[in-house]
Amino acid sequence: MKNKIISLLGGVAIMVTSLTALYAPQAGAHGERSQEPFLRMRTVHWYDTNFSTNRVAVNSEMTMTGKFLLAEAWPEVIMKPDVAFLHVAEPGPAVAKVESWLNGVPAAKSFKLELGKTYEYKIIVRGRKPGEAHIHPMLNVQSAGGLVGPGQWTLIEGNYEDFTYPVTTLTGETIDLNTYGFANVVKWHIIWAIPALFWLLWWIRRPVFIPRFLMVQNGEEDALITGTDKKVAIAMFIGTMVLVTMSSNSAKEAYPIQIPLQSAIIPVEALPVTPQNSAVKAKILKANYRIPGRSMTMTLDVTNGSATPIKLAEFNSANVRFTNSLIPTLAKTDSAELWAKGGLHVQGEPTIYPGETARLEIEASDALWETERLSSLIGDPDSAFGGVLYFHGADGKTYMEEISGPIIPTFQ
Amino acid sequence: MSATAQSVGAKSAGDLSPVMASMSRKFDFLLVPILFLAITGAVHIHVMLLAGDWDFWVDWKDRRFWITITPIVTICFPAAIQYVTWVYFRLPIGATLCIVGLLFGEWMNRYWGFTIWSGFPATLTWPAMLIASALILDTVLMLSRNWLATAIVGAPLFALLFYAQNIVILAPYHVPMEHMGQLMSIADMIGYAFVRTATPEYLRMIERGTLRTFGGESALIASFFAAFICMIMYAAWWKLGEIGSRQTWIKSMFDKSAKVRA
Repeated sequence: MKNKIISLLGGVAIMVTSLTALYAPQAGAHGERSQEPFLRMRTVHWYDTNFSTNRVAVNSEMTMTGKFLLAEAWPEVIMKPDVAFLHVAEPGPAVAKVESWLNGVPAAKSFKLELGKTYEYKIIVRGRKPGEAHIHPMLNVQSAGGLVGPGQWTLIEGNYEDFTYPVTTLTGETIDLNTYGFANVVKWHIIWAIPALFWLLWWIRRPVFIPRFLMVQNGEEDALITGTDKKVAIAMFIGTMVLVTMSSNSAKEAYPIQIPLQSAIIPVEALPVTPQNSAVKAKILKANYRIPGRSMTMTLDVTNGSATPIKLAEFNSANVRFTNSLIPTLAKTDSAELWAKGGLHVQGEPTIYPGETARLEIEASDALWETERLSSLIGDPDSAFGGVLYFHGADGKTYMEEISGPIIPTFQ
Repeated sequence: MSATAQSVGAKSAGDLSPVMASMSRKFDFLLVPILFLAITGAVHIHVMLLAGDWDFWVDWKDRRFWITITPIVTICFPAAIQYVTWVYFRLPIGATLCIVGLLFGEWMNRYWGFTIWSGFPATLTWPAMLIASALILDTVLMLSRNWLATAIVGAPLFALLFYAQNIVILAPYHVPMEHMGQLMSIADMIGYAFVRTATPEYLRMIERGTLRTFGGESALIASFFAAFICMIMYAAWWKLGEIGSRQTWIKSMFDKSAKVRA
């Protein structure tokens, strides 16, 4: 009876486990929401992100452009961006990278970047593998991992067999990067497989285990290796050495010009400090996150050091834009970013005049706090937030200021 | 009836009755593929865990770490399996068996995993060749009949031949090109173009310069260093092979077999 119950339970367990194979949903993007809020709110503030298109044919190009500000409130628990790499986050090489630039400097190698500075990037990719892919700009920072920018679902159309990536070497040869050298790799693996299989078959064509073991146990091991075996072994030894020598010499003759793999840390100057990214100063006095309302409230003093009246237009944190609906000129310029339209409410006099310091009470509320898994910031050990405030000036320009500070949750 | 071609006569311990000889051969046919797959799995996971990225990507195959690490990591199982195949069966195929298994596993992994599933071009992900090294290790053991001689002569050759046998497939990837005004090898460019989201450029553990102080012969120096370490690794793993094969149940099984034969 006991055995029957165990068998029954085992059968049910196997069936249930097997049934899970029937449910295999497509992975939507690649887990950017799983990053802890402090990584997304207090490291890289992406803005002005733009994708030139959301449909790209195989071999056609798409350009990603934008800027990012490296937060001065960079978390202590991760390394500073002394070694960073401008990259693309995508599910496998659905698009191939053609060019990437950071402040006009080629981004094939790694950079040393500075906190509190702004950088402008441009990444050109080429459609490769047909399908729909979620593609982001990304900044990899050594020991911190990938810090992902706003993403866009991009449809790649066409036929993979048509994909090519032609480049010209400094020796004047034009090659296809997608297939280059692979036929030669396969050829030489096959060439070397022949003597290896011959050697194995030479020995296992005869009885392998039991008789040989018994003979060895009986002290008859010398009889197990014949004179022919020795001749074959000598031939294999010499043949192997000759083939290695010949193949390496032929490669050196065929490719006399070779260079080692290239790697370096490249310095890059940040974008210059302008009134637009330095004239406005903000100081957080108090910040709360109200869990039931999925809203964040802040009290802060804003000093307008510019020459024009300004109004708070947007709070941006972790690629989520909370915008002020009272400023109708604000348009969604970026199709990739998550937009809480009208999610930003400012109490009190909205206009801050030049030289004035005004106390603002603002509320950023939207379900995106929950769906983007930012509300879990209350579980962080340092309980802090970060983001960027954007002010619209009467002169038509946008002024920005990074903010950060401790945050206290409200449970009622 | 003799069951082995090397039987030394009617009194040889290898002489089995026709029934036992037939069963013994069936046992061979059953065990050889099982052992091959088991060795493939073991060697493959060992090498991929310890030298994985250097073997996965063409832009990791440098003149320093790849040449140093791959032979050192790869010689372990050949040494241990050689102990078993040589000492118990006088079969000088331990190294070749391991490396053929490793390459079989790698090609399966690269084709199904990297190319079909993940979409990486095969030109980025091909495995390194090691068969020449394995053949030398096996033939040196067989001709010398001495594990110490194999450690002193065969193991260094295992490492020294690693880079030499791979130049023929690697050289085309080290041809220079210019991209965005920067000098790159084709291998660098392949790694740059075909995005590995979790592998930024700085993660590559490749030659960054210090060995160039020795006359620019980084590959040669790395090969000789690997050769020296391979001597030690071979001896250590030969000994591990001995410890690992102290299976009393195996002895018991073959003792019973001998009794049946008698």
